[in-house]
Amino acid sequence: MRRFLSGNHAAAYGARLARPQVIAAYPITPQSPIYEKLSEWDSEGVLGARMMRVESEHSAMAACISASLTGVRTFTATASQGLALMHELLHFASGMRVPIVLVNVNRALAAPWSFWSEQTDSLSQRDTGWLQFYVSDNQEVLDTVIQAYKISETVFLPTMVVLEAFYTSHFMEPVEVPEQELVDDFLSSFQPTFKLDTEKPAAFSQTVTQSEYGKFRVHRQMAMEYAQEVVQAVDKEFEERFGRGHGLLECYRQEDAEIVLVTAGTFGCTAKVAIDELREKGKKVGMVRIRLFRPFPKLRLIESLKHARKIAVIDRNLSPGQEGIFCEELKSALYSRVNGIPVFGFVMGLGGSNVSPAHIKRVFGITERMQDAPLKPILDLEDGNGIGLS
Amino acid sequence: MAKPQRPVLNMKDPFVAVSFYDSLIFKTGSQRTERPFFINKVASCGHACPIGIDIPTAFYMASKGDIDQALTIFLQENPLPGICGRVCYQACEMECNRGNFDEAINIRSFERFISDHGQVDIRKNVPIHSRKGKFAVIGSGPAGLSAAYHLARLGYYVTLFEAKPELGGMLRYGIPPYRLSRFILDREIERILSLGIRTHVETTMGRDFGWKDLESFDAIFISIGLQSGKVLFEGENAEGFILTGLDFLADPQKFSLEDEAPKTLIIGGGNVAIDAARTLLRLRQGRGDNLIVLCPESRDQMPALAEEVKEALEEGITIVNGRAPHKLHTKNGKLLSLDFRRAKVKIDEESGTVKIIPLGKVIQKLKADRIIVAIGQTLQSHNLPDGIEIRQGRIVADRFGRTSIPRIFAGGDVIGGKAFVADAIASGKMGALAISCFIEGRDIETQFQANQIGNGQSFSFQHFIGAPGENSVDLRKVVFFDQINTLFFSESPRNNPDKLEPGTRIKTFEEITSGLDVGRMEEEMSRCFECGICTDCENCLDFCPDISVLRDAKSGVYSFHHDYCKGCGICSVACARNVIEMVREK
Repeated sequence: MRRFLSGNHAAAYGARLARPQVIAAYPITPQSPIYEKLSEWDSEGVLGARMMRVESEHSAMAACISASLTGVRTFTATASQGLALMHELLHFASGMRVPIVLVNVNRALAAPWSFWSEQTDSLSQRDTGWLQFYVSDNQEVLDTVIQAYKISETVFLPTMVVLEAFYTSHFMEPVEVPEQELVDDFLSSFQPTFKLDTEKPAAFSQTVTQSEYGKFRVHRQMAMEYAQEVVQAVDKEFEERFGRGHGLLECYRQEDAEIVLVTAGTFGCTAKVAIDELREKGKKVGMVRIRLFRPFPKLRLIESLKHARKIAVIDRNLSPGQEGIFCEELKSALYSRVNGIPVFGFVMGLGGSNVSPAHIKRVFGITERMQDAPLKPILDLEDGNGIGLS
Repeated sequence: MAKPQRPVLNMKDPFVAVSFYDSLIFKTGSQRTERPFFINKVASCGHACPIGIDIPTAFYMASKGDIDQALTIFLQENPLPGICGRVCYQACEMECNRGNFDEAINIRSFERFISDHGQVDIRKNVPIHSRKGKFAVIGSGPAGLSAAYHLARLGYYVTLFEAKPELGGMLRYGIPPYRLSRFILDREIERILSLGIRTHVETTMGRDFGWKDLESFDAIFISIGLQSGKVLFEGENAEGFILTGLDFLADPQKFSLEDEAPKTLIIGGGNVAIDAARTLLRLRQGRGDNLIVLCPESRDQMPALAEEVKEALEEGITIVNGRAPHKLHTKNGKLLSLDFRRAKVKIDEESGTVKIIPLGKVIQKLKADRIIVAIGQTLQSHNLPDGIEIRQGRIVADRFGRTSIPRIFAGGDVIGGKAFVADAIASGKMGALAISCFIEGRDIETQFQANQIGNGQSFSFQHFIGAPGENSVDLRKVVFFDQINTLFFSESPRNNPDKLEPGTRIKTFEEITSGLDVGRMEEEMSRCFECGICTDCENCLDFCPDISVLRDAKSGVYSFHHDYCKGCGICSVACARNVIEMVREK
């Protein structure tokens, strides 16, 4: 059924269709409408999950971990400071191999205080062992939440689906909401190997020896590598059943492009408009949008970028003392196989300021003019008015 | 349990850390820097009680339904719980920790309740030893009864001498029956005598027997009280028209004051004055017109118990404060009037001496037919043994009741101190300890300190006599309010007993105050914090994160598993009653 939904409500629909049994969350702007919508359904008696009121995001994650260990499907949603507060338990979740699905709405981290979009909250959880998807529209939000359960429950790693504050979370779009039976057929029930069971007492995540610890880390790395295959397989199956897929990457007119823009999230949609306009003027430009960030789809990126002459990465985040995080990650991926393609790193729209097709075209213009890529990121701070070159 | 198979390296099974074994191999106790230990203590109420009663343990026993055991605990220290449960000034309630939370526990009603409802054969339930030693106790007021009781419990032969026809001293001849039922008094005395105490009534020292007659006794305890009312108007010839409060209370009918016609002035602001006024009011069937209490003290300064003053005022008795008598007018041996002046009273904080300061020169006059003088009592010193030291109208005795003559001990009002029943009982108990130490050749200081409660004046007789306690107790440690974890308690109002309405009670000598009924007493018992005693609440067991508080299934005794106790101290915080303490590991 086609509905006119915000990204937050698309996430809530996705979660509801996956039939989680425990939902523990704590409200925070701009994620609160997800929690509110689920609560609404709960009060109407149509949710079918146990809603847990908790005192913090830390507790929300602790509750999801424990619930998941008993073998039930769990869901939570948060943003920004809430995700930062969860940080400690994000490591626990992946280390304990529980397939929790979390929706994070990218919101700028304090200080200074801000409510709008910036990706550092989720990107700084990069090393917690969670799968991460950066989505660009509301249909993708709903589809990815459903897919995430299947992926997570196959690889036994938790998944974070990342939206952008107000751009994805609050903009409304037509969204195809699949029938419950279709989703039920797609998602089989969750069957963990070990369960918390009072009949069979066991200690989980107890202390291990020095030599054992390494094995656990290695296994998580192997699970991540395996996850890349699983993401593809699940997406393929999803496409067969629901008629749409999203892939690891979204490639747009990049096959013959000399300059390829690389980005993530909503910038992908904007970039497509700019690319169409530039193409009309004969500019050979294309785009690759990174949908799956962890595990990082290195090979697929190399494949899709190896013929480019120049690459321009646009980040809505900035790692202080380094550069945009997608840019950095991309460079590390390329360096192993492809040499000599200059990678220009642009940082734009921090704190949620709008990045329009005009801004994207200026990024293209700068990349086209400059021969060598600067070591430092190219910062655009004032609503795209005037790109400050450092 | 069969050893579970380690998950093999495949992607279908996650590699997770799960152990089906216990973790007892990790002796977490090695991390400990402090260890907990159980120690029962004294509650602030028991510490404040001059008699040193273990009040919280009695509450605990009673709350479990064992009223008899609760009474036994009281009887370890106090032979007169039925009396204290009616007339005690309740130092315990003033220091009750619950008073800092909402309202103090009604301990007096509890004491009354257990003495009215408990059934204890004292000869069976209070340990009695058998020892050689023969003692005389002179005077059967609360001090004498207490000394006789505790000496008898220790196994000595005790003979009790009383000048009056019946035993009880001030309890019988001073406290009016509307405050203390004579039935209760008789019952309590009977219980004391059941220990095998011999009595001689209507036997006055110095008249019916001399000190030489007592030489066969190993020691003598003098508790004759202060029997003479102080005289206000020396040399005034108004025979039969001026009498003392004590004489009046001892036999109220004798003075034919029943008729309301004789205008009666009562002079004094103490309990005797108030008791006399209220007794007279009752004799006059509640008509208080020709009855005035006059005292130099302000209302707040009056030495009478505030509760008594309040009840007297409720009953319509006129109390005129700040007036001191000046002069009597008589004619032909008949009283005409009393002159008095405005006055104020200065009480020396240190010595407690009272000074009356007249204010102004205006002299007022009140017509009077009778005057009852109740301004204090004095010692009848002519009957005392030769050579005994007397100072300021009291027998000189140290805090253990030892007088200047080695085998003579004294207690109660006769040696000074507070003139309350509880203090007299405490004094008699102390005398029993001193006499026992004297005859056994033990050092009284050492014995007192070994059984002293906190740093106070009282000691535990139960401890001294070696009555077995359930848990070890540190008598020196007192639990005060800041050591109570009040998170485990919720506010609830104090239960107060019903009283007869003033209009009803002024016409009868029936007890004014009734006891609490079972339902309200149970409520009141559930309010007690039970400070300093383990009540098996098992907070420690529930809160211990290391499952290291153990309970022996057979004996019910708690202990700590030191192999695993990390010394976190949560148990000592979770113990609402301060029974668990932490001590540094060596």
